[in-house]
Amino acid sequence: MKTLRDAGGGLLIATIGLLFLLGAGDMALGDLRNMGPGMLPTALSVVAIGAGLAIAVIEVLRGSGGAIGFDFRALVCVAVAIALYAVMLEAAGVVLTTIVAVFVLALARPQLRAAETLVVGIALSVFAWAVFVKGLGMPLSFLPDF
Amino acid sequence: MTDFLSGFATALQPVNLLYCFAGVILGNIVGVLPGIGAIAAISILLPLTFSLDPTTAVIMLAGVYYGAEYGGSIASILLNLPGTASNAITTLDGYPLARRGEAGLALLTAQISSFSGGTLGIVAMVVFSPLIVSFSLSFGPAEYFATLLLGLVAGASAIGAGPLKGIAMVAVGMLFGTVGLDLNSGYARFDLGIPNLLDGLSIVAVAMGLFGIPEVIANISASQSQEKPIAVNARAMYSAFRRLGTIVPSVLRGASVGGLLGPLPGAGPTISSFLAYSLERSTTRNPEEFGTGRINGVAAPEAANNAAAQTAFIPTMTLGIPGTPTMAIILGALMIHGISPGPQLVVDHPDLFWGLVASFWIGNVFLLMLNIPLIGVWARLVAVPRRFFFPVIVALVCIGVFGVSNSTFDIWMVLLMGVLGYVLRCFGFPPAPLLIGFVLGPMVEEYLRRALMISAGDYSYLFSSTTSIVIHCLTAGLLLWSILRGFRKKAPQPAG
Repeated sequence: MKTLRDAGGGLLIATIGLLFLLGAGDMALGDLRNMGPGMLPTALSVVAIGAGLAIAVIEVLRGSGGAIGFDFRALVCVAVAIALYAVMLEAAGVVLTTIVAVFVLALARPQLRAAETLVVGIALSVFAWAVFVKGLGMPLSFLPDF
Repeated sequence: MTDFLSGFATALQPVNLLYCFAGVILGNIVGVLPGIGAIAAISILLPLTFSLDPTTAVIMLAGVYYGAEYGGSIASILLNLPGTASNAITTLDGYPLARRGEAGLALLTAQISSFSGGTLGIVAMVVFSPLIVSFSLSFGPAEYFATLLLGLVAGASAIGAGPLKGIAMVAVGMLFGTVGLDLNSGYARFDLGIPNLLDGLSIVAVAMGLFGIPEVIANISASQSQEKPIAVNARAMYSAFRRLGTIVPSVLRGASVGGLLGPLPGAGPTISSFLAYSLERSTTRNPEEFGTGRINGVAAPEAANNAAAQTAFIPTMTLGIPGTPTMAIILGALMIHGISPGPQLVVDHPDLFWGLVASFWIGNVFLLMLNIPLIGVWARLVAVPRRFFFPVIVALVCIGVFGVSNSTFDIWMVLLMGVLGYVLRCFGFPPAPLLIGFVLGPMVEEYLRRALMISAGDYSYLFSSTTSIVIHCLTAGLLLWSILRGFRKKAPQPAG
C-alpha cells in the first residue's frame, strides 16, 4: 500500500510553523533595518509552513510514498514511562518510579518476563540512585516519603 | 607545536586522565552495542558533567565520541551489524573476513587503522587550528553571520533526504531556538507563561528527546536475531600483526579523505567512511575482490571515520560552528559551562583547547591498549540481549535531565521532543538538521542583528568583505548542488 509518508511529515511541520506564527502574532516585528523580537520567528514560521506544504504537495502530485513503520504500542509504553518519571520521581523516589517504569516499558514487548523485569527494575533503580543521588547529589529520595 | 606539547600538561593531570579513560571506555561500549550511538550517549552523559571543570567535561564527552568509532567496528566485523552508522561500510569486508576464520586479522586491521587515522586527524588539527584561529580573529559580525549561514545550509543539505526536508527541519529547529528571553529587547518569546521557558528550551532535553527516545521506541519491541557473534581471542590478533604491511597506503588514503571531510559542516565520519571505501575500490586493479573480505576494505573506512571524528573538532572549537549534531551537543556543553567556543577560546583558554587536543591522542592510545588485549570481553558484550538496554536508557535520560535544573519540567520536554522525533522519523525526516538549527539559530539571529546595528540597517554590510562574499558563494553553491543532486537521484525512477 502506498502511503503519503513525506506529506504527513510536511503537514506536521507546517502545523508547528502555524502554531509558532500564531504565538508570534503579538510580538513587535520592527522592520528589516531594525528587527524586533518577532521578525525572525515570523519569518521562520513562514518558511516552515511553506516548506512543509511544498513537501506535502510535491508528494501528492508525484504519488511516490514509502511505507511507514509506526509502532503505536511501543510509542505509548515509552511515553507513559517517561510521563511516570515526570509525575512520580520527586514524590515517590527513585526506586519505586524506576521499577514501575521498567514494567511499563516491558509491556511494549510481545511477552512479559515478570521475574526478569523485576530484577532489571531493582538493579537499575539501585544503580540510578547510587549514580545520581549519592554520586551527583541530586535532591531525590530513595523510597517514597511518608 | 609547543602549544600542543603544553596541552599534555593539562591532559596528563590525574583527574583529566581519569575522565578521558572513562569517556573512551564508555564510547567503546556504546560503539560495540548496535543501536546506541555516541550522540545518545553524549546527551545522556551531559548532566553528569555539569559538576566537572569544563576542560575535564569536554575531554570526557569527546572521548565518548571518538571511542565509539573504535568500538563500532567490532560489532561490524563480528556480527555484521554496524555499531554506529559510520562503521556500516566496514561490514562489507570485515564480516566476510571473520566468517572465513580471520576475525583476528580484521579486528586488528580495524583497530590499527582507527589509531592511525585518529593520529593523522590530530596532526591535522594541530597544524590547521592555529591558522584558522589567526584568520578568523579578524571576523566581524558579517563574517560570523556568513559562516553560520553556511553551517545551517550544510546541516540542511547533508541529510540526503532532499533540500526541502532539510530546510523545513532547520526552520523548526531555529523556531525552537527562539523560545525564551530575546537578548536584544528583553521580550519573552513563546514562554506560554511558564517560567521554565524563559531560559529557552534546554539543549539536553532537546537532544535526548530527539536522538535517544526515538531510538528506544523504534527498537524496543524488535526481536533480536539469534545469530551468535563470531568468537575471537587476543592471540588471534597478535599473530596477525605481520600481515598488516599492505594496509599502509589504504590507511593514508582513508585518513586523508576523513581528515578533509571531517571539518566540513554536515559531512562527518559516516560520509567520510563511504567515500574512503569507494576511493579504495577505484585505486585497485581488481575491485571485484572488495566485499569478499579484503583488509584494505576495512582499513580505509576505519582510518577515514576516525580521522574525521578528530578533525570535526576544528570548526567547532576554532569558529564555534558545529558541523554535526554530536558537535552541536559538545558546543552546547561548553556553553552551559559559560564558555563560547570560537577563535577567542583558543586565545583566551589555550589550556582548554590544547589540553583537549592532547587528550585526544592519549584517548586514542588508551583505546588501542584496551581493545587489542580485551577483545574477548568486547566480543562477548556484542552478544548481550539488547532488551536490557532500553529501560536503562529511559531511566538515565529521565533522571539525568531532571538533574539539569532539578525540575520535572524538562522530563515533560523530553517526552514532547521524543514523540515529535519518533513521528518525524516515521515520516522519514531525520532529526539532525533540527538540532543544528536549534543550536545555530540563536547565534545567527544575534550576529545578524548585531551586524545590522553596526551598519545602521544597511544590508550591503553583510557582503562588504571578500571573506564574507566567498563564504556566501560557498553557501549558494552548496544549496544549488543539493537541489541538483535531488533531481538527479529522482531521474532513474520517474514513475516512483
